[in-house]
Amino acid sequence: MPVSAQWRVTPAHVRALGLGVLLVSLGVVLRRPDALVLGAPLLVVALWSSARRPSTTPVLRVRTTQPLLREGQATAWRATLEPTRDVEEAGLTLLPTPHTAYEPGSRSVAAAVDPEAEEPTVLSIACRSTRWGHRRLGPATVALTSALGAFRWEPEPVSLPAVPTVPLPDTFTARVAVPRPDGLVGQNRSHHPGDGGELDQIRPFRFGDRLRRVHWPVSARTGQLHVTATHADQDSEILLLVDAMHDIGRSEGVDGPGSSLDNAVRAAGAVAEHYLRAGDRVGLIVLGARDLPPVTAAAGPHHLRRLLDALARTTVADGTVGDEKRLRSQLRHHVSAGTLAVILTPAISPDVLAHAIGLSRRGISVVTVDTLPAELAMPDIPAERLADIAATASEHPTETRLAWRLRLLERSREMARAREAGVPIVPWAGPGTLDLVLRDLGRRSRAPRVVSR
Amino acid sequence: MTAPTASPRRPSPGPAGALGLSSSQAAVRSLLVVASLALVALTLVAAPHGLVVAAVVLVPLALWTAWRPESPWATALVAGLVLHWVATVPVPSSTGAWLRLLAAAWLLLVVHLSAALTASLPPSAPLPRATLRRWGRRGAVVAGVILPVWALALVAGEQGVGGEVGLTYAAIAAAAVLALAVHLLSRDDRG
Repeated sequence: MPVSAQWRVTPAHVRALGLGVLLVSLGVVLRRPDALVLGAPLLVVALWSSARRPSTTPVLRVRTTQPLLREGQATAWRATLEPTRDVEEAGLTLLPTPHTAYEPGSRSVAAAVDPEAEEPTVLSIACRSTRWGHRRLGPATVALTSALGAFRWEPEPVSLPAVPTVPLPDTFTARVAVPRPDGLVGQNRSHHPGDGGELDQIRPFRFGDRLRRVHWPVSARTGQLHVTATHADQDSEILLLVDAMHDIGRSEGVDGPGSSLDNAVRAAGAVAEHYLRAGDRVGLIVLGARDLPPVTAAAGPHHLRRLLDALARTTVADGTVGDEKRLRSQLRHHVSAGTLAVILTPAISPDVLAHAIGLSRRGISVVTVDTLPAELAMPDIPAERLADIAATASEHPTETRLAWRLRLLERSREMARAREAGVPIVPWAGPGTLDLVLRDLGRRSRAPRVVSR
Repeated sequence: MTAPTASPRRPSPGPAGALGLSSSQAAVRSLLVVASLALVALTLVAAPHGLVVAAVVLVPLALWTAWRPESPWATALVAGLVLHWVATVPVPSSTGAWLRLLAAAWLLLVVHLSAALTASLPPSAPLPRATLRRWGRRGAVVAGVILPVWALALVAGEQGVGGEVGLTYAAIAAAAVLALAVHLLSRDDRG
């Protein structure tokens, strides 16, 4: 992006010029050789600066080197000055941005511009984004000065478009298949026979069976043609519901402890990556987030990019009436039969758990992942962590601790009720988090039951 | 996504961390303070009746200017130092007094250049070595250029050259033309 500005006289030049001329004049008029000698260096500096007065407009381009980051990755905020004879010093300073580490740490760099050089001068500050989200790096102040600091070329603070930082998904694998795959193609074993890789049974040959399916050892032993029957491989739909109504805990980026929303976003990224690689379709709804439409379920590596970008745009709700209304409308979304709904929530908002119970009663497979940081789920929370829960904790620590204990009691009661209603709740633990509950869900899905549609 | 995975260090407080200054910026600003204090001291030594009140005002002003060299207080400091000298030190009559005047002019140059340099670049950015070399070289050139002026004033003062009205008017006219020329050269490009 090119930047424009105009050359301006600096106070240093005004000082040298004004005092220099004044002192020399006083020396002449009042016959004071000391005034003449004191004014001479200032006047010489002013004359030198005026002789080297800039006559051209510098060409300066600014950009960030990477359009997209993952948590922990770095980009560079770079200003490139085309060769010019008028500029001798160049400086760049970035204003701080939350969740960003800079190199150099002062966020300022300076360079001496060689007027004879034919290569452009580059000022660069490395910016490492330590948390998912959209990072607006800067704004930046760029200043170029002419000889002896007499003229300054300084545009308005420069802002570049925000750099999206997509979450760095946690490690996640699931050895157990989703309970009820119902798509056309995929890698999940379905309950009905068909073309696939997993053995169902060896049965007598029927009309229509393919000859390459004939199992010759059994056929030779029994004297009757037998074929290998397999389960059909199908894909399934995974719906990720990320609860952004609350963000509990302190977020210190990818290198430090995470908040509940950090855990939810990174876990959602991990689950999405795993199932998309397995060929399933994954959709996303961020509950309570503003200006973030649902991402329709789809498959493929490009869809992962779409999901991560949506997760990067997640912002926590600010607890207004509008947020409550938005949540209620988001909870009315359509969920098709056979979908596995994974709800990532700190279970602070009762509406989300109630929604999980409602989905389960409709016959949808639901897994709830508890994203509340483990150290905050204890009743005797350390004093230094109270501020992570409430902004006014420092003023009323006793009351805050008591209120949080009451909230945890309510939370555990709501979670127990959800478990009784058939909604498994597991804390996020990376690989294998969902295996046990998926196995239970698969077993349950094969059993007859009554659902309300 | 092809972003580099190089992870820069976390921000760490620099050598002049508490003030948010790089070490080179701190050094040049210290030079400004030292030169100001030296000039104040030189004035007090050279003046028959030193004006201590002026020194009391100029010392904190020098410290403030070192903290905010881009502010108008830098001009106030330079003007104050000059005024202090002109108001208290008589016209030099001995070689020692002339040498003190030359030293004062050089110190004034150091004060001005160090204020201009530190105001040109971000306070927390280290000053490039090439910049320091270039400014040092130019400062030395200016310091050398004023030597003939000083020598001329010294010779004229010691030989007691009598004044001549015509030459005085010519010098005033030359100073006015010089001021006008410098003003025209330094005009701001507005519009």
